[in-house]
Amino acid sequence: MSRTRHSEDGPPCKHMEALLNQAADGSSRGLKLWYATAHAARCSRCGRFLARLRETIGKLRSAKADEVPAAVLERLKNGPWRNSESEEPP
Amino acid sequence: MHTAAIGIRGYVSDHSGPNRRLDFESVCMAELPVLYRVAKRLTLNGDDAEDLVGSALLKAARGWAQFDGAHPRSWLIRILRNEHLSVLRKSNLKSEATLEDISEPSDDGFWEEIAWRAVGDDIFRALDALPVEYRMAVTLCDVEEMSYEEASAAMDVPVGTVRSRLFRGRRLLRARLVHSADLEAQIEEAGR
Repeated sequence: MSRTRHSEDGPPCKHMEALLNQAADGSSRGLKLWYATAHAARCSRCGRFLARLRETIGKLRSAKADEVPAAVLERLKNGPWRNSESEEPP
Repeated sequence: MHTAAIGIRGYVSDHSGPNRRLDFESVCMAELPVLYRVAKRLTLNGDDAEDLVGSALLKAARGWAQFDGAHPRSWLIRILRNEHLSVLRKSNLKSEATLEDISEPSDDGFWEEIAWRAVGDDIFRALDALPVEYRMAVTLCDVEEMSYEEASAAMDVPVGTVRSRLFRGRRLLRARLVHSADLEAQIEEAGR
């Protein structure tokens, strides 16, 4: 496939944005995923967009591990909710 | 994408048996880190987040008998979110600006390269600066790896709304990260 010729600075093809987002977060499979990645491989803007999305999502997923201090988790585990229950809906 | 951490359907299908209390505790224990992180994104403060999780779990304990067992993480987050709104109402605190109140933020900068020293705190600072609807969509789908359907149940909005908030939120977040990385580089440069 030949690469689409246009500036790399700019938004992705309008009809591709949702498909590229779903390809980046892993929520698409099969034909949808193939179409998005095949398009991104030949379209410079969409290729760049997909790479940026994957990078951002990867950073978000890996950053969460540090976020809950052990002392907080311990207090939450032993909170008053463990001794409370009734039939009243929330 | 993420699926529930434990075999929830099997755990909670029997609400009447002697294990009901244990089931509730098992589900909540598994979700505590997620609930705290989501609460922190809502309250923007660690102490308030801890209080919010505590009061949401008290509500959840009272509603456990009525829960149908589907998507327990979404169910708990929805209670958390409702509790947060209730606290804001009771204390007469103005809720954060919503998408209707603000002009469309700019995502200029999305296309720039980031010098990726941005980790942990930087990323969450940039995330916390987004309007709450975008922040929640990105938090649930990207940080917590929930499916669009689970996030929809947690946020109490249609799946299409989750998608549009998520896609826009990602672009805005990336633009903010680029700007903060630029600022950091300028400060470093000025210090030389």
